[in-house]
Amino acid sequence: MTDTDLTPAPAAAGGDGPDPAVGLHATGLVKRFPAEKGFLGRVRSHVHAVDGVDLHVMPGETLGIVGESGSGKSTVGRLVARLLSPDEGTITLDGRDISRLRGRALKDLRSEMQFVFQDPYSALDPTRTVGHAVAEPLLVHGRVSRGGMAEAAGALLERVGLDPGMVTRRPAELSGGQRQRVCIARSLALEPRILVADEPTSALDLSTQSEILNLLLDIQRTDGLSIILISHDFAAIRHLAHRIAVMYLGRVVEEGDAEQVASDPVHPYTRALLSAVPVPDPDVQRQRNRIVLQGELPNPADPPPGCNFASRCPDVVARCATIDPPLVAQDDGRQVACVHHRG
Amino acid sequence: MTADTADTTVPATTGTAADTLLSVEGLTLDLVAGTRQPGLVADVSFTVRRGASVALVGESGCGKTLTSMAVMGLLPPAIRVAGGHVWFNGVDLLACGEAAMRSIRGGPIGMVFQNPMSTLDPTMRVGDQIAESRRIHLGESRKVALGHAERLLDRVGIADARRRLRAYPHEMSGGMQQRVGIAAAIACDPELILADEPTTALDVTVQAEILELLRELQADTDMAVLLVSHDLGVVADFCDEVVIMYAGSVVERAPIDRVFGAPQHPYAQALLEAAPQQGTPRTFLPTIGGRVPPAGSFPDGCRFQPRCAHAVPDRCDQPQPLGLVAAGHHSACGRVLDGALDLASSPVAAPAAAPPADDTVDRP
Repeated sequence: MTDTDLTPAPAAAGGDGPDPAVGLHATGLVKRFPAEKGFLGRVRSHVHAVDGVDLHVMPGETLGIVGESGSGKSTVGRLVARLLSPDEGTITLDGRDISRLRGRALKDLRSEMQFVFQDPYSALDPTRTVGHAVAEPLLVHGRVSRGGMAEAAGALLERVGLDPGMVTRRPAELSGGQRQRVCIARSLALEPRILVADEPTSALDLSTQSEILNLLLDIQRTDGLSIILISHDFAAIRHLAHRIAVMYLGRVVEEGDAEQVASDPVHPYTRALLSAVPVPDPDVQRQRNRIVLQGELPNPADPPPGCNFASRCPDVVARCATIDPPLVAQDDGRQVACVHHRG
Repeated sequence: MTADTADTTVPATTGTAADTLLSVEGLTLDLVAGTRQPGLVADVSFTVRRGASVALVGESGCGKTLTSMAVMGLLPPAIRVAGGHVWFNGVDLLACGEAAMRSIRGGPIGMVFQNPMSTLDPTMRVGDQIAESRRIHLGESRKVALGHAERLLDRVGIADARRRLRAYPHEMSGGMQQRVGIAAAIACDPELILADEPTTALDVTVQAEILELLRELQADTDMAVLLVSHDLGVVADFCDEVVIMYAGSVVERAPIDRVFGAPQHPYAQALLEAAPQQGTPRTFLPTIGGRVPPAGSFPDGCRFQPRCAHAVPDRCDQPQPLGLVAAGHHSACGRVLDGALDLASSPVAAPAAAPPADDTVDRP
């Protein structure tokens, strides 16, 4: 295997926009959470955790969603995986509307789409064996009998690079990296087509993070599934993603080809974010042009009328206070939400 | 950056060199409860010069935080000092009593921790918290100390400092809280700031602001910073020198350009090459394999040996003291020191395909 084999061109989004009949498409997603409650628990204000987000993921493609705390990236992940229901907007999977599925239909969706959580310590039941954790989805969906669980689990563990003999162990006996592999094995049990991974490496030690990134890459290469990787760690996102969406306060501010966004960011927030990501190379650090942001984040329950980023933006101009810039396609194919970039 | 200055002598011996502020010498800590591990931190030596920024780097369980706690005299009861010295301005802090340590902590040595919310008192106004150390250490009146606190808040970049003195910690964002934590740490003009993962809980844009603030403060006052971190990027950004720890021992110690440019210990090399920043996107990254041994089961000789691609039976079972590879550059790899291993010509290989074999046997 050469390196180039690892970078397949996924079913490209193409010039006329993504084909809505295949892949996962989210349009106009909105999710509000109650922020403040008044007398008798009446909700007085809402935080727009996700405020009008469009996303597209084609088969075999990795979409990286990067953002800082409060950007709404995790909520977006939970919405598209339907762990949460959107207040507004639609999500389609291969042309089928999944945004309002409930009950049995929602359970069936789990066999197509799975979620990997950040913390492999709390994601596993400490009283159950590893084998049970991994094969439980198969049991729930009636694909194996109780007697067949150990064998099925062993095969899945092997798939993620663990010893199949580990099925009898308890989570407490495993390292963080092993636990995350167990969680990934569990998410693969139903052979989903889409994996949503929320900060899958953040709780792990340095030397283990690269193992999990390799595993996700390997799974995608052999199974051809789509991955939505959500992280605050830009290096991890850049390493795995074909395309990157940068979020700030509930919005996507820039979205495009991963290399394009990583090496030539356009939105002032993306530029500041990338200039702040520390690189383990003293030479690079000394020469880089840092953009240190000033100013405070606006109150998300009471966002300003114009651009959300205006209060911290180094390129702010007068009209930013009134214009709330939409995401606009640029000549080079990416989308940017900024008054300075109107395509 | 002034790399390669001074400190080329192998372990610091007395801590009396003119510009040496802190000198940790052969620090050895034993875990005396639970799984028991003699040498949980073993023979750790490094120096911090006045005004310098030194990083203690490693993964969880490598002993970096314990080492910094030993410097502060804040070791948990299960840990016993088995040997070594911590010279600070010529005084051995390990031999100091608690009363003396209390006058040093918050005085000439300031502390900044990972989670500012856990160090700030939620029931106290931030002005009083900052003023507290000046009242205790310098005997200032509340009014004078509060005036100083206002200047400090202003200095750490908090707008409208006078009004903010009366705020409670929960009314501030994480970045602001950490600025308050730094203001409290520098209240008594310390010579050394001990910062344990000061930006780990913060967003990267806020992290950049905090590191910039620490840099400015250093430029103003010539204070030294001992930064405890697991983030190689932050270290490359902020520090002059690095002490890399693995399973309680120092494996490499050098100016940053040397460590990042030509690491001289297999662990340091593997850690640097495993970072995704170094790889071609969407290719497999080199991995180390295995895991850090848990306390109680540290191997004899080189503690990295079970995971090391270059380990050879007899040589690596021996104790591996730090030795000099070049001016100011120390490695604890016996094979490198013997000249038997040239890491520059043996890069860490990325796996060709398939998920890397994980450690398979680790039943306790």
